[in-house]
Formats: sequence, C-alpha cells, structure tokens
Amino acid sequence: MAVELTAPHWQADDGSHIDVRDLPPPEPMLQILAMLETVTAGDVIVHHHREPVYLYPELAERGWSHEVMEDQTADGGELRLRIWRGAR
Amino acid sequence: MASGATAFLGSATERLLPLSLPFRFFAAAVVFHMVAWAVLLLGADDLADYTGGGGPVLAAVHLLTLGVFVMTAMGASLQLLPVATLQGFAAPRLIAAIWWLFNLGTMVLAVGMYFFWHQAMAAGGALAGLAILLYLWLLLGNLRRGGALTAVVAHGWLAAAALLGLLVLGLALIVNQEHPIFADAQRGAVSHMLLAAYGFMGFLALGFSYVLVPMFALTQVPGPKWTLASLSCAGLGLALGLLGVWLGRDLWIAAGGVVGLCAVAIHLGLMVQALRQRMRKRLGPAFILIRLAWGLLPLSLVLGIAWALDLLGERGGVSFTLALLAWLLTLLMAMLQRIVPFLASMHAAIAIKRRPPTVPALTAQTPLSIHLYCHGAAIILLGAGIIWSQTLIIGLGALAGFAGALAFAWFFLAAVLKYRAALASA
Repeated sequence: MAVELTAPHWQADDGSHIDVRDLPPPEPMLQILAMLETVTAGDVIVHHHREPVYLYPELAERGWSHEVMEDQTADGGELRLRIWRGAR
Repeated sequence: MASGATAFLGSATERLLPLSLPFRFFAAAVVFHMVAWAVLLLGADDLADYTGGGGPVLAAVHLLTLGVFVMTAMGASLQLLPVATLQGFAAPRLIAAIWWLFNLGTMVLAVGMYFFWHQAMAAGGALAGLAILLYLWLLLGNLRRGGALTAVVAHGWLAAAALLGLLVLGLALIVNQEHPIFADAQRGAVSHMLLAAYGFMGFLALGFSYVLVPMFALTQVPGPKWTLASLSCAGLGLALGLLGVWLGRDLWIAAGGVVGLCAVAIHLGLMVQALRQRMRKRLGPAFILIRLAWGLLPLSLVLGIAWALDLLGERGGVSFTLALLAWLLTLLMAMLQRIVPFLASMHAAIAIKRRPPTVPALTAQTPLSIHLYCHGAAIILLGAGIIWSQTLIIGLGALAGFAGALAFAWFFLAAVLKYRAALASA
C-alpha cells in the first residue's frame, strides 16, 4: 500500500472509526480506502465535514456499501457515513 | 476544520449539478469531435501548406478548440472545480443557457470560417463570446473564495485571465477582416493561439491534472511549493512568448519556450512521482493516452522554439500547431473516458444507494481500444502527411481520426445508456 493510514482512527463497539474532517481533498478518500484495506470484519464509520460523493464509485468497485448515518453539516457539524462490505 | 470546508456545506445534491448538465457539455464535445475530423478530411488539400486564413482548416481547428476543448473544459470545471474550491455552482439555468449559446455560436462561427463568410463569423463569435463571458463570470465567482487546493485555484485564475485575453483577440481578429485593427494580423492570430492552447487550456490542464490524476490513480496531491513553481514558469514562459510575438523578437519567443519546458519538466516530475506512490495498480487505457499527452506537450514546445528560430522551414507553423492540438486532444480524450463513467457511477450511487453500477461496468472497452489506435494513427499520419506534403496521407489521418471519434461516441452513448438502465432497474 503506497498511502499510509495517518488519519485518526479507533475501534468502538459499533465498528472501526476514522476521522478525516481536517484533510484537504482527495486525502479523505485515500485515507478511507487505506483504512478499508486494514479492516477484516465489522463496519467502518467515517467522520467527515461533507458527504464524500467522489468516494462512492471506489466503494462500489470494491464491493462495499454505504449509508449516511447522520448529517449535521448544515449546522457546521459533521457527517457520519457507515460503510460495510457487500450488501445488507 | 479548514475554513474553506465550513463553507462547503449542505447535502451532496445541493453541491452537485444534475448529471445532465455536465453530460450535455460532454455530449456536445463528442459530436464536435466527429465534425472536426470530418471537416479536416474535407480540407486535407489545404493542411500541409496552411499559413492562416479562412476555409476548412480554420473551421476544423475551431470546431476542435471551441467545440471539443472549451466545451469539455466547461463541463469538467463545473462538476470538478468544487473539489478544489469547496464551492458548488448553484446556477443550473444559467449553465444551460451557456450551453445553448456556446453550441450555437461555435456552429455559426465554424460555418462562417468554412465559407469565409464574415457576417457568420461575427455572429458566431459574438454568441460564443457571450457564452464564454457568462462562463467566466461563474468561474471567477467560484475561484474568488479560494479553496482547499491553492495551487489548483491559482491555475484557475491564470486560465481565466488567458480566456479573457484570447476572447478579446479572437473577436478583434474577426473585426480585423473588414476593419483593419492589427498592423500584422498574423501576430494577433499567433497570440490568440498561444493564449488559447498554453494559456486557458494549458493552465486548466495542468491545474486539473493535480486533482484528476491523484483521484483516478488514488495517490497524493503534489505539494503547493513545486506546483506553484511549475505554474510560475508556465506563466512567465507564456508572457515571454506573447511579448516576443508582439515585438517580433524571435529569441524572446524561444526563451519563453525554454521557460515553458522548465514548467513542463517540474509538472511531469510531480506527476511521475505521484504515480509511483499510487494505490491503484492497474491504471487502464486512459493512462496510455495521458502518457502520450505528456510526451506531446514538450514536443509542442520544442517545435515552437524551432519554428520561432526558423529551423523548420515553411511547415514549421503547421507542425507546431499539430503537436499543440494533439497534446490537448489526447489529454482531454483520456480525461473524458475516465470522468464520464466515474461521474455516472457517482450519481448512480447517490440515487440508487444499493449496488450502484461500478466504473468498469459503465465503461465499454472495445470502442475505447478502437479510439486509442485510431487516435494514435491519426496523429502519426497527419504528422507524416505534413512533413512530406502528401494530401493522401493527411486524408487518411483525418479518416482515422474520424473513425476514432465515432468509436468515442459509441463509448459515451454506451455509458449513458448503461447509467439510465441502472437507474430504471433500481
């Protein structure tokens, strides 16, 4: 893997979390994809400052699905995206 | 959080234009691509010894530059510039109006150029010029708030300045035919070409490469220090070249070309470095064209320097112009064949959520392979035909280009139909 996983990431009960809110484009996409390569089981929860629409084709190509869990960007908050392997 | 990021709020659907808007620009570019090669085929007799003036060659060049290059640049920038500036374009009706005006203007202008009909050139130039001014207004509104990728935004500023300059010169050249403005119209025409190719399209191509190549190859964006160094050299080189043309100083033009080569060396170094660090192992056929374009760009500068120093004989100008247009066409066709299925997949993923079509599923490889070979053959045959002044070889080159353009239209249509089928079956 040429891109190192440097964004803050941690494990919680609901899955593996990654925070890409402070990163300039397309670093969030690279960090999320780097994270997915390390995950063997469970969901991945992404903390972002906007909906990462340019990530979706890459997820589809890798067989991952996604859904927006929470979107508070209109109030200056964050967006949480759940990603999981395959369909559910 | 970055300050720019807070301004880029709202849902994806608020930020993104409907897919039909950028796609109508791409569809028009695909059609103009076919028409440009067909018109060049009709004017094959004139190409080798072309030194300027109206007729099929001038019409074909403008069908390519306005119809394909600027049309693609408009569509791509409206959809992709927000990646760098973190600001969306919230003016779908104005964008639709720009598309109509620009299409009509380009068609009328090309007809006027083909038949050397001044009134049609003036009307077409005015319509296309109005569309460009409206687009420029949108572009400047998007750029002025800055953004996350400062180097890309800086490229956008210089591209916008060059667009204004080439528009003024282009309209002045049309007026000049009936009411002389220039002491030497050839200098105005060469300046117009330099501003269009290395200025507007060149700055946009270099700037967007810093977003699109990392996005498609999945790699880091090069740092601002060297990207701005490349941009500074490119700007200085263009300024020197333009001054040299206006003042009739051949050495200044050549010096501008050398400084431009420095800009290209830095840019290509950054691109090669980025590709070495990529996550995506298989880059696909688009990157064959991208690498070809990376070879054609410095070739165009070398030919430009040689032409300025009068080392290429009578066909120096047309050889330089061929390399210049081949660079931009090759790069844009490569980018389009990645952008079209990528954007379709992205919009499908937003609309469908579950199991959207992937980029490979939306990409028809057979027409792209046909296009790749035909495009390469067209450039080689046109180059050989110009060097040996052989109309038959030039005609075969234009025919190969036309066949490649047909294949590219097949690819585009297939992507649109697959996207619609995916939406319908969801």
